[in-house]
Amino acid sequence: METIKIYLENMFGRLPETTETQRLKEDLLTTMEDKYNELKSEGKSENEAIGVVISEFGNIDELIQELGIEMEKPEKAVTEREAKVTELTHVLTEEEVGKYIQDSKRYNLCTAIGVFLCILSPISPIFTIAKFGENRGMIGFVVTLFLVAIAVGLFIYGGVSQEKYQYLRQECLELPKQLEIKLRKGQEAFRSKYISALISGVLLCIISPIPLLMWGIRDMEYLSRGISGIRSVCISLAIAAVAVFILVYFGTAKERYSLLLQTGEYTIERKQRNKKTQKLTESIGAVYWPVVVAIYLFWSFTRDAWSSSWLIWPIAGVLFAAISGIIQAIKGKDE
Amino acid sequence: MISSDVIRGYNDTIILYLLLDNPSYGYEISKEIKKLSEGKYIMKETTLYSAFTRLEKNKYIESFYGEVTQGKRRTYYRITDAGQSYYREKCEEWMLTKEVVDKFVKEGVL
Repeated sequence: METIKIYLENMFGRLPETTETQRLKEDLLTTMEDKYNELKSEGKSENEAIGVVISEFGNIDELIQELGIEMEKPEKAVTEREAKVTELTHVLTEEEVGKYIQDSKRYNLCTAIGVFLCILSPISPIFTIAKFGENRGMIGFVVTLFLVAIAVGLFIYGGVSQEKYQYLRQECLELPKQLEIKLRKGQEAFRSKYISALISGVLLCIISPIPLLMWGIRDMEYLSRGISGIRSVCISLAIAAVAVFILVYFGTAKERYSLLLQTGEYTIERKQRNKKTQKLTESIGAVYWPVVVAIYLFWSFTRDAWSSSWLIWPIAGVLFAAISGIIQAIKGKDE
Repeated sequence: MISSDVIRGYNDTIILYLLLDNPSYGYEISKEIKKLSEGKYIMKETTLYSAFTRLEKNKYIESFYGEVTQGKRRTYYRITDAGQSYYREKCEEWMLTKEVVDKFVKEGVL
């Protein structure tokens, strides 16, 4: 009996698993089993019975041919739907993906270095003031500004160059099978690297205040001597800078994989939802921000409240984030 | 034994004939064909089921589930009105075919 099942299973191996083929397989099995049972009850041996059943099975091609005509219709519907999807889907080529990975590696490094420099930049005035007195402090500030300028340059370079890959974030992507497998393997291999980077980044963040705290615990007289306290500030900042560099660099590398493989933040559903909410958020923003500016100017001029009116900016910023959050929640529910 | 090539065009007719009086299921039909043909024609399983598929697609037969017996749920088939008129057409076609082919068959050749 098992032999018949296996035989049938093998015969149907080439066929797609649809409800139709499934049902057909079941029906055929029942019929073949009926025949087998009857042959057995007629006194045939198991081998003989199986032999007869299998010899009278026929040719599976005959069924495939019949089903082929049957299945043509649903298949057409599927390909039509697929065609509709592909119109909106961006099919990536190996070349394109390779270029994106190369580019984004460079830009992400730029961003990470930029952040690193920003965090390090206060070291120079602190150091120069402590070492050479407040008069020379200006030199330190110049260095700071110089570092920040480089960082901003790097941010802009990275941001503008990434802009041409904006479609990767918004459109539905389709990867060639082989490329997808390659990327998945890459993602898998990257995961352990990412976890160790995340752990070391977070650990460094946590320990970064330690030099400062140690200095705080010790005699306050160090403050007057300056340099030791200053050194601890500098070391703390340097540790924090390295930590953030690691987090940014590996974080963006991880994002690169989820962007290309459309996982995490970048699943097709999310993209489609974002597309809908984005327009609404944009049009609200177009009204919202000018109103905020008007309130800011009105408040500041009429009350001469320049010293406190800036508070409107962080409040407005957080409030806008809340508004777009609500829009997304409501729109998401509509789905 | 009859070659399946020769009889191919009349597999549907044979099945419809067996459904004329009562609904039936796969094995019963297959057994019935063997019996009525006195063992001269054994319809292969794949032939039987591709005929069922085709006939059902053309709405000449309808399938339904019979009662569960011995833990098995059998698919039964019943002939439709369209199936009955198709059957009559096929019968007429066969009469004509037989008449024509007979004219070219010499009796007593063997």
